[in-house]
Amino acid sequence: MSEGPNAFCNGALREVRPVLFRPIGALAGGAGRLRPVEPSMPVRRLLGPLALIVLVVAVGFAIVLSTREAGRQRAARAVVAVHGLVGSEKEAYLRDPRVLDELRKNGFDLRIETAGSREMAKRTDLSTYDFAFPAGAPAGQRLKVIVKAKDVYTPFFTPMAVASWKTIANIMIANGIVKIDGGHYMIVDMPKLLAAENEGKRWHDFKASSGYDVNKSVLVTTTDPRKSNSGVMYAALASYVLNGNQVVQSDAQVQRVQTQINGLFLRQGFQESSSAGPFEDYVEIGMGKAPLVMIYESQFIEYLLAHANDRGGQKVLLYPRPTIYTKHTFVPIDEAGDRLGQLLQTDPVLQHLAVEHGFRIQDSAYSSDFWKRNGISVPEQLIDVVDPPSFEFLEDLITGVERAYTSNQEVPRDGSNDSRPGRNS
Amino acid sequence: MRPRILAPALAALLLVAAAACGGPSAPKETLDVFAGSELKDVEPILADAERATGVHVAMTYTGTISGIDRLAGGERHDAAWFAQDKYLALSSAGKSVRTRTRIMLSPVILGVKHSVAERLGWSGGKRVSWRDVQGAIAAGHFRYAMTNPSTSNSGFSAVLSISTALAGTGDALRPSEVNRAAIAAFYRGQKVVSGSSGWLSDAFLAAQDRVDGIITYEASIAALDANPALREKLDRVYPSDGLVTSDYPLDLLDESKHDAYDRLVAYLKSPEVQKRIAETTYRRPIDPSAATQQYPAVLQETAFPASAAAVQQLLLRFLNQDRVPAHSFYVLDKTGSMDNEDGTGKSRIQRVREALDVLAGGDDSLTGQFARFVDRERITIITFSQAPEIDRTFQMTRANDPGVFAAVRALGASLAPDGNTAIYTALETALQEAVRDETDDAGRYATIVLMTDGENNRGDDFARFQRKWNALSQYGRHIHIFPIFIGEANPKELQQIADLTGGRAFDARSQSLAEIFKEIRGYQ
Repeated sequence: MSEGPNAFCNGALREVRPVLFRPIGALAGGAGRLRPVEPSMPVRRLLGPLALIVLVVAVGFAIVLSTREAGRQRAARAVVAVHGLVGSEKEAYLRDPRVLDELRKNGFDLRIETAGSREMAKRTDLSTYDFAFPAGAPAGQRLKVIVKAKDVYTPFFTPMAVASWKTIANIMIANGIVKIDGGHYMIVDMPKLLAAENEGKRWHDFKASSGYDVNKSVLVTTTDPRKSNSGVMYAALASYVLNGNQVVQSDAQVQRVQTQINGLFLRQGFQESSSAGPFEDYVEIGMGKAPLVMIYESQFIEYLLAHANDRGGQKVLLYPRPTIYTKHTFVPIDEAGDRLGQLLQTDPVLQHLAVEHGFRIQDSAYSSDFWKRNGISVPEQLIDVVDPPSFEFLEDLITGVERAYTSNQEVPRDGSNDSRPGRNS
Repeated sequence: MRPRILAPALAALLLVAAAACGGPSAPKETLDVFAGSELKDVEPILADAERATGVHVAMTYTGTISGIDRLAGGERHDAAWFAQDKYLALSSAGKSVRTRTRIMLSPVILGVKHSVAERLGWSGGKRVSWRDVQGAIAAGHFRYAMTNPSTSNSGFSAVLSISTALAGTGDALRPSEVNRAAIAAFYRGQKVVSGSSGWLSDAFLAAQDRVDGIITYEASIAALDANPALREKLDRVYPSDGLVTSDYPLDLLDESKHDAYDRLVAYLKSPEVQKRIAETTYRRPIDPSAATQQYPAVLQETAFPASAAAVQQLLLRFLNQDRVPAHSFYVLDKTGSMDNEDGTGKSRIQRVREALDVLAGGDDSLTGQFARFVDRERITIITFSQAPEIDRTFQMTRANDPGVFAAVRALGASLAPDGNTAIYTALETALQEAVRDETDDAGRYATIVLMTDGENNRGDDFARFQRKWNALSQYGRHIHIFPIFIGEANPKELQQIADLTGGRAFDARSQSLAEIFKEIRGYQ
């Protein structure tokens, strides 16, 4: 334990920079909120007490500056701190040092917090952030209204996919639910899969299931649709199929599919509130926990790019047919956020780094070429792509699931039908 | 001070902290972690983490469920680290989790004595289901040790996977679907109860000649296997119809500690440290490539229930309906010194009343609900000074039985401190009554709680008590005594009682007596 630990210590040191504060009212057009601003020189070494004194004096000076001369202090190459809420599936990208460097070059010091895409809309502190970056157009649309954003940006997108295992895929091939398309992409027939789920099929009911002959119900693991976009996308896709291959567009149609949709979620039990959770179950705990997991294609590609050993192994990706796309929607909350959104969508370096994290970008030739060079091939064009229901009907559907969760809590609070005893008798 | 001064002042503080770092080096920061007590075994790793990352981890230990109670009650910590965080996520405190990272894994499985496994056809990695185990229990071939699911995560994990498997619906369990007959037969095999997994391993070693196995963490079974006191190696059985793997997520609660959290997590997930975790704690590394041994490839995971209410109902169901019913003895000191307030403004006897009130329905917190006397339980309260005095037995006839709760509270209110201290004579009275269960009501799990504030100065002494204890039937010698000391009680002597009877001593001199009564419920 000599090299490794020191590396941590030093590595952490490089992150420490003196922080000056000044009002950025003029810049952001806001009401003079305080923002940390970074000077260009990072502090690499702290040389004992002397340095400490110098630094304390310097900070004292900074106080004077920030309180008296703030208005004049703004330099042309000032870096603006931007703070945002992001879906967990974009965390690795937005914490990638190369992304942060490129952002810094363009005048942004990025700080993020992760949150479930649907949970973001329920937060009451949105105005303390510069932007929100949920997954999925529905959450983006809702946030756009809440924060009254003029424009939203869609820097990248990704299709929904089902992470699975060769053993499972073979059982599903034998039972006609999965087929191999174009030589190597696995396509899962969603009407057949949903029928198996809604019939209450167990894995051991399938023929040729000896590799996974367990009593567990056939169910796709998803996130909690009350909180997270990927669960919502699954509900959207299932509603299309269960509505006879039509986008749900009336109350009657919502009602027609609601019960079956509720079962798809409630029968799973506990669900994670963001998309990183089920994917971690998949890679860290494995097939016994997660035989079929609804994920973003980007999560799988990002994982394979980082884990070359796993390519061509037990882990396989199934493409639903029909399928649905998630558009990662950047919602600016203030002017700095707006400029960041534009940058993410247009800066070639940032766009190409997104591809390294598995996202599809407008320049589809670049992404498929990059992935191919890294030994990962994905279908360039997905056919039979459906739209989610309009915001209103999708919301109705999810609210219906929400109600089912509440009414499903068969609970006398003390575990019996007895009334609670009086305190004195 | 105007607000804009604050931020630079904070920056200055940060720099001072940075300059104070021991090495060349990183900013030193303290991360206050609210942790499950089973994580004491990672402390050596955390000490090295501090040297490597500058992050000092200050652990505050508690149980999983009392941790939820305390967080929901507004207690603040920078991070939480328990065997699992799903119950936390479902509770009202769940919103405070900013981000989570799994650190290591350990499934809850069966450790079965090798000869028993061979006899039952379970050895050599055979496919064994909970239904098979239930069959062996019903036939009288399998007796086991397991923790109480309302105070310990390993017991909870076991109850969840057993209940789900025996319900057989293939979906996440809903409490109404519990297969009552099958589950009651399953729990009749439980011969050792414990409030924590650490103590369960000790109790299993003490009882190893009269039980066939243990249901606990794979890591605890590996540790037992490495213990020279274990007389027969344990075969590991991974139930094919579902088990629960604890994943030890480190949950960040305070966003301002994100950097320190990231540094600590990066350290804990680095390959060398993952390997060290596997070697020293016997838990599985989260990174499979750091594994130091082969594990069975596929663990069939049991789904976790969808709501906190379902979890709560499952636990209350276990306690009130399905577990082996208990006979809980309380042998309580009411000598003259119980009037003493020890500077707390509250007399010792008042603390006893309050502790009894908690068990009689007076505490609505989660832990309080799980600590109540439960349906079918029999409670005997014996008070003593120079001789046993009040000696009353109450029979719970339903959950939250109002008659029993009121009577217990009235008994507490009637206690009037007076007289000398005859501990052993009082204990002997309790034991005499307890052994009568052997003929009258054999299925009960009897324990004795002894609470005293003074030294024995009347009646039998320890030596005489020990002789009488040794003369008890085997049934009597399996009754554990849990001494609690306050005031001038003699800790050494009470520890002797705990050691003799396989119990555990508790110190209420500086801790709430009610909290200790709640903790002991896990052992009853």
